[in-house]
Amino acid sequence: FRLMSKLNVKKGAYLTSLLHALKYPSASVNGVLLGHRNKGETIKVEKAVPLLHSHIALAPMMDAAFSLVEEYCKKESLKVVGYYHANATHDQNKFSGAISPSMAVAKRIADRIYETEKETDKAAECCVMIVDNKELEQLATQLEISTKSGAATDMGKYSGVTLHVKNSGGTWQQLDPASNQGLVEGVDDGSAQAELLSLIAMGAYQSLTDFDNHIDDPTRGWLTTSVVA
Amino acid sequence: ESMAAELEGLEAVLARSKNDAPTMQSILNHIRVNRIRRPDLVLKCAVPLLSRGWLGNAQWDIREQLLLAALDLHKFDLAEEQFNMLFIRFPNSMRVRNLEGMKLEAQATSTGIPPEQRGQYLQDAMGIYDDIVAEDPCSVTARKRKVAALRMRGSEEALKEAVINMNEYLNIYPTDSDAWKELAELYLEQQQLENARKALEEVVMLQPVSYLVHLKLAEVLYSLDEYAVARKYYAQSLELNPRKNPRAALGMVLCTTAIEKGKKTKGDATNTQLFDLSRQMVLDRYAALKPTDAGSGVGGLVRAWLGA
Repeated sequence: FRLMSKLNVKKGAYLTSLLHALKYPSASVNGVLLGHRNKGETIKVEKAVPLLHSHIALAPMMDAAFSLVEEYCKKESLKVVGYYHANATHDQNKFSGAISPSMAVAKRIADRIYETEKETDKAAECCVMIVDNKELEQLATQLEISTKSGAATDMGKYSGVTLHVKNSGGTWQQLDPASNQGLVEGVDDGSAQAELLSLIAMGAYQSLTDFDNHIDDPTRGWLTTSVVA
Repeated sequence: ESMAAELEGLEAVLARSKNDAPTMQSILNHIRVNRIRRPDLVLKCAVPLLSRGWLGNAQWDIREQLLLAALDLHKFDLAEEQFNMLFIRFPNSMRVRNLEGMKLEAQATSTGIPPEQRGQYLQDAMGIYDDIVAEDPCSVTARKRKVAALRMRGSEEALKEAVINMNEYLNIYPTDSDAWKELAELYLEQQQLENARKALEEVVMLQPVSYLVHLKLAEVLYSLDEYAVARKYYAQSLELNPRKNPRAALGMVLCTTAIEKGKKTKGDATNTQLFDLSRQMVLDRYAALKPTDAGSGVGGLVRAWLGA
């Protein structure tokens, strides 16, 4: 008997968010998560859409991006189901309790997304995926070990991200992957992490296009295309 | 954009020429002058160049550049090597002391070191900057490094201290617009939009014909829900650069839309004109795309959004 998990993240969405963070190691990056949500059921994250890597705290480009994301969702019958964020600095990874200024920005955006969705759908549920830089460091160490010695590792333990949903009290609560509450496809057996490694080796993160990139050069595909399958 | 393209061109030339010294030197110059962050490229060019040994005095700039790139890539042995050579050659140099501070800052972030060690590295780095400032109160580099180091820590206290330090610097150098911009960034990180606005207003005074600065201020004003004032700055930015200013065009569309929605502000003829103008700019930008361009899919969404 297994408890139904609250959240399920497709491998592609997970990989996209990490590649985005890796493309801009010295900046905070963020994006929106699209998928399906039905009241009482698992939130399914199908796709991660990279948004900004500069001036994340400012509203206009976020508003513009969201206007286009809304049109896209209408076309593809998807819903906005969450937000992802990676901080520029190493230490600030907590999303609840006493949070740092940069995480406060993330929380404000996540809350705003949640409230906007609630306006049109009272039963809306949203999640947040935080790229945890310390976890990522652990993952990097594991990947290094596995590349050098090929030995079975604890890789399945480290995804490099933490997942959060709003609890009944209205605060963001971290999900525990160990009890199947929040799952990222392909992480437990290490296959997602292995794919991440090969994407990095190919330099795939350089060809990832976020909204900022697309505005600077509209010939670059964004939203309707993806660098990750 | 053109910078990235030029860099790509040079990379291709480097690949073809295989360790051609003048090419490597021009790539390094390009990166240094344009402040591009490509430590991988710097390594590729600087290491073979330096190993040839006939650079004479030109080597020192390159060694400095290589040191910083090595720090970025966490190649600390390589960094230490370059630092030692620089220190032996310039034992009394403030510039080299600043580099030592940066080296310590970088080492503080290396993988797997215990928190106490981390704290120690950072403290030592700050100590060096404080020493330099004590010796030379007008020091530009050390003061700026202090702010950068504090910003990197990212905690509430560190950011507050960074602001204090930046303001101290600006008391000495009130016409340094880069510093005002950095101050604005520090405020934005703490979501202090009003303070960021004030800092950017200083930048506008110092750089009155910069379309980017007007744009930046417009974005902060928009974020403060001050649509009427934001509109002025968006308009100014577009006047200064009407052709390649997509963020201002998008911002103007959003701004005029918000004004139209406002109960007290709707029905203004100027507003409608500005909306139409900027809307057309956005649509034109996507109309110019070829169907084979990967981004043309977004064009359809833009037209749906703007009702075209």
